[in-house]
Amino acid sequence: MMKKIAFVVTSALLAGGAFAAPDWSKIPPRKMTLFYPGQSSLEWVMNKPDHSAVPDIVDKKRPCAKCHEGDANEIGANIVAGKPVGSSKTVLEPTPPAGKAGSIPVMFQAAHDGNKIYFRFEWVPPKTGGKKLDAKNEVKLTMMFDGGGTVEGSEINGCWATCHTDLRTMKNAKDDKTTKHIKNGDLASGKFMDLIQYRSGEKGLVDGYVAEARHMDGGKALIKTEGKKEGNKWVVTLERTLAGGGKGDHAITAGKVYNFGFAVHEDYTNARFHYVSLGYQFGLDKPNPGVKSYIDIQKQ
Amino acid sequence: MLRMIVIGVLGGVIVWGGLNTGMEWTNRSEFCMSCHEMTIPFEELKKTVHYKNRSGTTVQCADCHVASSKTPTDYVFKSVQKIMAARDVVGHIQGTVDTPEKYEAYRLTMAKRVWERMKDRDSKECRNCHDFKTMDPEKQKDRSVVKHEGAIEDGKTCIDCHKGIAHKPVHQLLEQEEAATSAKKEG
Repeated sequence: MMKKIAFVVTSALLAGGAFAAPDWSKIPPRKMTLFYPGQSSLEWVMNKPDHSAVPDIVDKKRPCAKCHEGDANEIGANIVAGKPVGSSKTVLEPTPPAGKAGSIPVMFQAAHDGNKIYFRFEWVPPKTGGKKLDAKNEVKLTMMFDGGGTVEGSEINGCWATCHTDLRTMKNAKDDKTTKHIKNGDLASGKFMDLIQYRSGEKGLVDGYVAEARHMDGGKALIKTEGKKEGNKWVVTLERTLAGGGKGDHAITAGKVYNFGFAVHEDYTNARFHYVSLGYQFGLDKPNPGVKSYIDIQKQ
Repeated sequence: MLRMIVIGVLGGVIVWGGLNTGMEWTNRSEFCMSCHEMTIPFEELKKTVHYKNRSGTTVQCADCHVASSKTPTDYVFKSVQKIMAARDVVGHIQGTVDTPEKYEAYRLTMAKRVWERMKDRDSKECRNCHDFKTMDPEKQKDRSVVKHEGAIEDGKTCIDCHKGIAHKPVHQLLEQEEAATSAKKEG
């Protein structure tokens, strides 16, 4: 009798699991151009002589994506070649990596089923063959998101709230250990970015957070990651519970607008040598609040 | 009686025609550059898109630095400018900027005068050719479209943002000056 019940329950669970993964062909992808950021820290972005838009950011809260979604590929091309961008005189990449692409277009899709949320990323890897900075992982894909407006500035700049000029490998690096952090970042007040990561080599799955520093553990919400090459494309999926519950996990609930960004470390890179997205937003079954960088994640 | 009228009219044509010819003659870039100091900014202009570009549209000194004759207000301005241009002759005689080094030292002062005049006139010389309404958003980058929309909203004028486009940029010194002044005030 118990065996029968166990059989039925297990089958039900498995069946539930099989239906849970979304039918990606029904979800319209959003193209996002990830670009090579060099040493463009938050401090650089907020320095007027380097970035004339500072008054608009401060006074009008103008998000990066509003101006730069269309020219992220050009910005990346200039930075990776060691050229200054716009009217800035600062070179953002002091050692331009030969032959590296300035940007990668990534197709982004997301869906949820009431319990779990799924993110899918697809891209064609550009020419590779650079020095291996992280020999164990050919590809890492990292997504960061706040708790729905809990990190000041991330509704404008996405991940840049965590990126500073004194981090390792940055222009004013104080050592080779300092990692991403949020000024006055604090778990208790929600002032942190939940970090979920896929790794192609060891571990496979990382669930951490960025508050006063970057922690690569503590989270319980990321339950599955998958990455593989399909033809000439890399496809990575992240599966996470909506509820969260671990240390540095944000609960994802209806009604809120979450600020997020993601980065791809491809070709065995690490630290700042990734391709990054601008700041975007998502909500669950919530119509667009009037921002072009918003993505409505619908229940499947 | 008729003779007097005819002489008067002819005289008027000669005087008025002479005045206008004189104004236009002194608007020619060759005239500006007859003072050697002015070859410095002209050579800088030649490196910019306002001088040489895909479509071949080009400007001369007077297009930006002298009011046009498009409206009566412009014409009055132009006439006043022509009279005030006597200062330039004085400067030439005194040798205020007669070497490249002196020119560099005086550049920010001269630029500020031009920026002030352009701002007073709501960048009229720019707007003789450029118009927000006829900007094609399909042909501009996103960031330009957003900035121009913001400029219209905020009532900004062209010269507020587009400094340093025709000659060697010097507006970065303006920001340094402002930063130094506000530091002094706080200190």
